[in-house]
Amino acid sequence: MSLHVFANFVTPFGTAANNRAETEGNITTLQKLLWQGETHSTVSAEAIRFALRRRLGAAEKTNRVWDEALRSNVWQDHQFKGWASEKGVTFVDDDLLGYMIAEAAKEDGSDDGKGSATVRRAVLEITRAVSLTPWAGDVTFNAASPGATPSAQKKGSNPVPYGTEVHATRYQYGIALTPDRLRDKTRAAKAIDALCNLGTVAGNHGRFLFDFSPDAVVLRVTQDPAPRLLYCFDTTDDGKTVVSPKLLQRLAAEDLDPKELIVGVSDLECKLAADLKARQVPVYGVKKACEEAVKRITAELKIKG
Amino acid sequence: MLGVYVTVPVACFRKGMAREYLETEPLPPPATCYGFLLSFVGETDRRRHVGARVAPVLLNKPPTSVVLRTVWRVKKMPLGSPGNTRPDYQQLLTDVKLVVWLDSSAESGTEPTLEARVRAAFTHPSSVNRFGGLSLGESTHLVDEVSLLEGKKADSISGQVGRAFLLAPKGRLSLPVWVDHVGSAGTRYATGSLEEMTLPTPPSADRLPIIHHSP
Repeated sequence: MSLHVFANFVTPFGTAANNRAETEGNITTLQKLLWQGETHSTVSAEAIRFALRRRLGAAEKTNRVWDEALRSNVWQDHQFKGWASEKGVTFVDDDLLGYMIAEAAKEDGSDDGKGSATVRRAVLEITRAVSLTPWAGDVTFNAASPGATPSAQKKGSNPVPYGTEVHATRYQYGIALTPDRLRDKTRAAKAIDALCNLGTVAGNHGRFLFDFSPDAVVLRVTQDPAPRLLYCFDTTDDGKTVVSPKLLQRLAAEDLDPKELIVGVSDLECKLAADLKARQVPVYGVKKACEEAVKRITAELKIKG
Repeated sequence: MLGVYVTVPVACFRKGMAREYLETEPLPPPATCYGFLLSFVGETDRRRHVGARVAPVLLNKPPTSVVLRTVWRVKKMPLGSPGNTRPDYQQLLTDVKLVVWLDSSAESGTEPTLEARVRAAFTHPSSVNRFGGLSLGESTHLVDEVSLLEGKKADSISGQVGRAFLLAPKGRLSLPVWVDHVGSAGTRYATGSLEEMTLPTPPSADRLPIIHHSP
């Protein structure tokens, strides 16, 4: 058997200028994609992984540590030597998020000149976050104080005007985790805990704080290899509240077993909670749901958490 | 022959030769579908089911978006050195719905065949020992739904017209059936074309691209 843990998270409502695309003129743009026929803003999985790695650092030492002063990553073991032996020292971020050192082929087209790769596949996989509501085209007009952006200010001491695309919305994203593949299985609990307490993801030079700690989460602990809950959240009132007709449909179709689901919501009286309770899905607060999932994983894997 | 219904919310089936601009194929190449099926049944030896025939069928017309992303390459050690990352554009497809046809009649490996193993994985998921999220292409591009194209699922798409990648000697599309990741000398392609077909009727088995590698 293989135990799979899947989850879909949705953030609280906030003003986002996360994950910028290429600047157009003096407008800092958002990353966008077409989603169900409309333009939605999006945040990469890499940005979520970056924030998660920093969060994991609070629980255990990580291999990659972001140095604010150097503005780059500092590595403890960039050749991943700890993985060579069974008892080697390994880091929580490598264990969960994987790594790769790839060396390009010296000479293409021949077997002799083949490249090499030292790879550990991620045990925890994360999808791209997509906004719950379409982007309406909001742009803020700003002016940097005189002297604040010397590179943009070619001459004189006037303020530098610029625009920022912003999106007032929620984001949703999913994860897949096979805890049995971890070198240290107690790290599954640390991953779930970090995801349920994730803070800022991406962001715009600290001008915006967009909270990625989930407002609602649906977790699934199962032997089915397909999540069947990715991007399951929706809204009928421009993101004010969260609903999930997709989840209800799948429960009705018996594609999802309510016994495998754990739902966490910040408002226990909300419609989402009532709809799911009516389908025999256990509903808790977000932190309690996280604890419940950890309890189930720990029991299934018979590990000491 | 077996049909597997698959949905992928966000995907990029990167063209093998794409470098600065990461273009996507319209649908996952047979090699990608084969890898996905191996992952589904927990098989780590990719030569185990050589000879399997795999054909993807696209059920909808996923819109294409373009995002800017960080692409890694190792120019300098250690890995965190500046210059090892660069921003590049990537095409993304959203809301991809597929059927993957699988036929094991020409497989050369030992029994059970991939077809039998995929069927067994649907009937008894607890008998499968596998790991990792199921994905088509990059691991970020997680698959959401996987179902056997039988019974209610087959009825739900009955009459829909999909576009299948089928072998055609003078076809306009070449997609890999085997990818050599370290050096590309061993990469093998199948030539075919995208043909409209009504579901859930399977195509003729001899038109399905066959998974093969260089000796």
